Amino acid sequence: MGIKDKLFGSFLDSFTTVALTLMIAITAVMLIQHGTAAHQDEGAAVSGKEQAEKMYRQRLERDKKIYQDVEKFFGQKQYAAAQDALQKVQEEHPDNPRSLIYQARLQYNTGKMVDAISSYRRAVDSEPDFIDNNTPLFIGKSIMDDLTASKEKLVREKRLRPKDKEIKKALDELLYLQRRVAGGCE
Amino acid sequence: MSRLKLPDISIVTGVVLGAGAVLLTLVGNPVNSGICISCFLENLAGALQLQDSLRMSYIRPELVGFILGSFFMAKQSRRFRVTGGSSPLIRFLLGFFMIVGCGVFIGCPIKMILRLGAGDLTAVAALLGLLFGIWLGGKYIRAGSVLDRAQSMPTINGYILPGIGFLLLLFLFLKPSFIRQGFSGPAAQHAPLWISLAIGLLIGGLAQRSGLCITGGIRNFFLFREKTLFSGVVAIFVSALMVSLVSGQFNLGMEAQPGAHHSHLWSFLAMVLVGLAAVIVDGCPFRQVIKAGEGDVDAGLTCFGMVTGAAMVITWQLRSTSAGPVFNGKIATLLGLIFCLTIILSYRKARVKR
Repeated sequence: MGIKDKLFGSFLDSFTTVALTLMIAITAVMLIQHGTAAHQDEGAAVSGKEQAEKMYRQRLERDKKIYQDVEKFFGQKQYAAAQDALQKVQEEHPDNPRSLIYQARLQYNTGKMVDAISSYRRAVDSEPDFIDNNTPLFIGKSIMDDLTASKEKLVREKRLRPKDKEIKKALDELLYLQRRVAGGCE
Repeated sequence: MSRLKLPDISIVTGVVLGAGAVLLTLVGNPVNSGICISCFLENLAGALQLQDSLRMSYIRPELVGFILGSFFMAKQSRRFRVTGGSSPLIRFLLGFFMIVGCGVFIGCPIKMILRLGAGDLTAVAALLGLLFGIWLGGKYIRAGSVLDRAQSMPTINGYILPGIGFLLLLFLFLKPSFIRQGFSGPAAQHAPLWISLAIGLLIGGLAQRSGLCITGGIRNFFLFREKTLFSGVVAIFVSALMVSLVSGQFNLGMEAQPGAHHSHLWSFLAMVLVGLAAVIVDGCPFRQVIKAGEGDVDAGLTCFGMVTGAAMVITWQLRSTSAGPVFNGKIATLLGLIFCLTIILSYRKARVKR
């Protein structure tokens, strides 16, 4: 290696080292400035978690109001009246998945088990938070209670009518719901 | 006085991994999913906005711990060796398909063992599939289907994956706006950050030291009747079983199992894919993460393939739900098997020609 290469090589290395150090310093200063600014704004800003909690709170309050009549008739075991009230809500709020939960509970309490399981499945598929115990929407325990009670009856029915496709489908859906309610990473 | 004989390091690693995973579920991680590389990668892909399911978006500190634990242990024990350059694109795609297989089964090989340890009998078909895939892969290796040899590389290459690990750690603490975190679903189910990180670092360090690998342990046992790593695999199962029994998480049977489905044929095929791909790339998904931390650039590339796979598994629905495998997942599994067999066949032919 000639002296020119040696000198130029060392100059290039020194230049690169200085440039690298400068860039690291500039990046660090920019990040710190940005971090300080974000910290100052923290009081005004709402974190994602708080936002989510607020959203859940509002939703629960709204649902409580919407389903007030359904809940009242259901509590008094006036299932026909509850069904009418639910139908009215469904017409006004067709996208609210809680209707499916009430539908399932009504069907379950009027002995329509197969329909109840199907409604529970649609409810859980459209709103997984119903079975997520980390959210205030969680009602997994009451769903599980209904499923456990239904299972015994369905198994009995299946023994009596082994070729009944409707019962087989309901049993499959019930087992699916049990797996969903059990949790896991899905 | 006779000296006290210490248990083998792979058994220690297995015990810590199995028990640690169940303990993580007790302090917040999803049931039966205390440690699952494919689930963690899906969560990571969501956090980085590579997939759009907010419920599956969280940087799992355990994953960062595995990489950094392995890195620190390799540096400390002078085993940080930077190698790479072996069939990069093939490894990337095999990493991709390994996660597809995991997505269709709903879990990586570690989660499969954890599920079995918790009494989930739906994982038996997957175990049989994994064993078959590894056995088949072992046969192909014996017949000469081996990827190109890795070569020594400049050290900087080995620092890239641990560097990304550090970056993810920074993201975890600084929470920049472009990193997403879900507040419901699996993303919200997590152990406290420090506990996850500590367990991750411990397991990462031990796994680097022992070389524990689910598929590697079974492969070595099939090929050479070598039991060192295999005993570690058994230790994962036994410790997970013990802790599940003691903590009341054990539920023997097929029904009401969390994150499971009853399509046993697809569970079997999905794990054949994982076993076969893992034998070709020389390590299960967990081992790839550990190797990436110790300077193996090929494993690093496989990890990139796995992250891409994790993102696509959610976005393209190449997976199963509790209802069973989605059509796209079935096709992807079959494509993965076709890809593996094509690679094996072409490498075998190339070797025969040479």
